[in-house]
Amino acid sequence: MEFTIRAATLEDCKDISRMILELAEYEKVSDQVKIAQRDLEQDGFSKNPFFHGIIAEVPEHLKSKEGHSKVGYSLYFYTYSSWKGRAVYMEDLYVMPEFRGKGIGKALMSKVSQLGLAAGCTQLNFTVLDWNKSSLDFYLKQGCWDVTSDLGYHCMRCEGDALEHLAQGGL
Amino acid sequence: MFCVRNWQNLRKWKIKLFSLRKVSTFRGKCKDVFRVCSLCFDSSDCSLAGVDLLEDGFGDHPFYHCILAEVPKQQQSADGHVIIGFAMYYFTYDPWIGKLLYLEDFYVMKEFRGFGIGSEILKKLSQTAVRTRCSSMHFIVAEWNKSSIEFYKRRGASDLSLEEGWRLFKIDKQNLLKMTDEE
Repeated sequence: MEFTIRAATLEDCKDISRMILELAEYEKVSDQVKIAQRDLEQDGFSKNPFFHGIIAEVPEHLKSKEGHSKVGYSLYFYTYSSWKGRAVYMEDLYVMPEFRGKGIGKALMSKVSQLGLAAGCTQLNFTVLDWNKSSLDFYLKQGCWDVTSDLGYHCMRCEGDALEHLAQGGL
Repeated sequence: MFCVRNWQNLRKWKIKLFSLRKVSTFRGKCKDVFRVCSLCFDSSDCSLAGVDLLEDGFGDHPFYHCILAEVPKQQQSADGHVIIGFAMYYFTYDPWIGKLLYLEDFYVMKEFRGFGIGSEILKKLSQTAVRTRCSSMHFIVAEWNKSSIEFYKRRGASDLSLEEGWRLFKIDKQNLLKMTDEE
């Protein structure tokens, strides 16, 4: 299938927002999406962006049933390992269901890898839900390994009231 | 640069004062950041040099930020150090809830544990997260590290790997290059 991978622009935020919701629905948690298109515009396209994006686009004659030509995206940002230095974190990777199986997901991930390597990163990190067998298989085939399974590292979160309480010095 | 002072008179060590400093304008402390980083783990796992920390932490777009815990000279460690703890963090993004603060490393030298320094560092980090309008603070903990897991859970942290099924994945440089070559 003919497609292009390019850097996301401010104008892409509408489609990125649409696909974020589609991805959240796929992960069965769409009620947890709290931010909107304008938040993405502010946080991703200001002087010090919190994330970067890339878009997969198909030509007009191949657009989706609803008329979308932007059919996939990835959001990533730079992180840091005190052991290995610069790293890139792939926060989201999504291709609309009708465009899967055509190499678009792999091309998006490859682009994030290229950009990470160009920025001096030595590793790419991301998380996957344990029930997502097709994604787990895809990533393992690309040479990734499961840090949670192999080294026992668990992802932890402190949010909302707990974060406020901690900021006030509570135990 | 900012600094928080706490008076704590605890146990036989009588540590009366320690301060926390944000390192962003304190390039001279990089050697100490590297030293306390190296204490966290088996240094054979580390390929990072002090010069990397300097280049990556100071400049227009730093990859990380650091808080250091410092004691007065009269309370210095057995081997003469006044920088006795640190936390390394950076900002990440969740497209569902926005900005997050990610805690990469958090360490207090053994002889200075049990005096509330770790709690104070965590409090400072949480204040930074709230002040910069982050929705959450994230970090990873090894599942065998029961005391750390208890420390965090007592403070309201939840285990996303256990509760929601998230697994952390990694792909190293060799496989990244292979992936880009195949395109």
